[in-house]
Amino acid sequence: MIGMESSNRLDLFDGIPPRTWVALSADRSRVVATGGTYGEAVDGADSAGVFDPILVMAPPKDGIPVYIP
Amino acid sequence: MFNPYLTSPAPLDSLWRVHTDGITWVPVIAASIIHRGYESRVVDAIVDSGSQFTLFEGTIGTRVGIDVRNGRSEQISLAAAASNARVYFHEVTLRVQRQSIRTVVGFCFELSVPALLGRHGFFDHFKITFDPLRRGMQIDRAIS
Repeated sequence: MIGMESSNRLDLFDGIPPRTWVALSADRSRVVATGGTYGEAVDGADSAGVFDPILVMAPPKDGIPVYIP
Repeated sequence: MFNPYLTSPAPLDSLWRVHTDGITWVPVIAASIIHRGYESRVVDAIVDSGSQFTLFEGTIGTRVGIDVRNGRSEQISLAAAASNARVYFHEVTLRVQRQSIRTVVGFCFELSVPALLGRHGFFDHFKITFDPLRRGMQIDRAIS
């Protein structure tokens, strides 16, 4: 059993600096908001009308990331 | 409760692609913290038995109203941070998979992932079984 869809989610983070907070839609298919802090990303998601985001951090650009959000 | 791994194409060289079927995975679960009735949104939390402590990125604590830097602090070495980092410990309610526990977590502003569920604060409350065939974790509350 494979858990979540195995599309290349790293593409979602193109152009987003590492360690930026990112609010993803609940299905992880799109970026809803970003912010320099957790709170900024939450506020952005609220403004976009998305109240059930998953909060992640953008992975580093160099090397293999510890985790791919 | 069973929780599937977060999987993605392995960003690895051809050797590793052969040995991973081209898929890499991370043991991530949705976690939130509650402080004085205010609950954070869910964040990706990595289940990490290699971490001595359960850690959340610092601005999460600030957002739920914790005076983070007023907590007991320690300088600790983190694999997931650039160097040694200061961690501020606070007692909070940790919620994972609709289960809530009262525990102590550390807040670290240098953390490069949203949260690490480590030995103290998480593994001492839950039984975790990693299942490579099902590509996921069985997580159950440890009841003494």
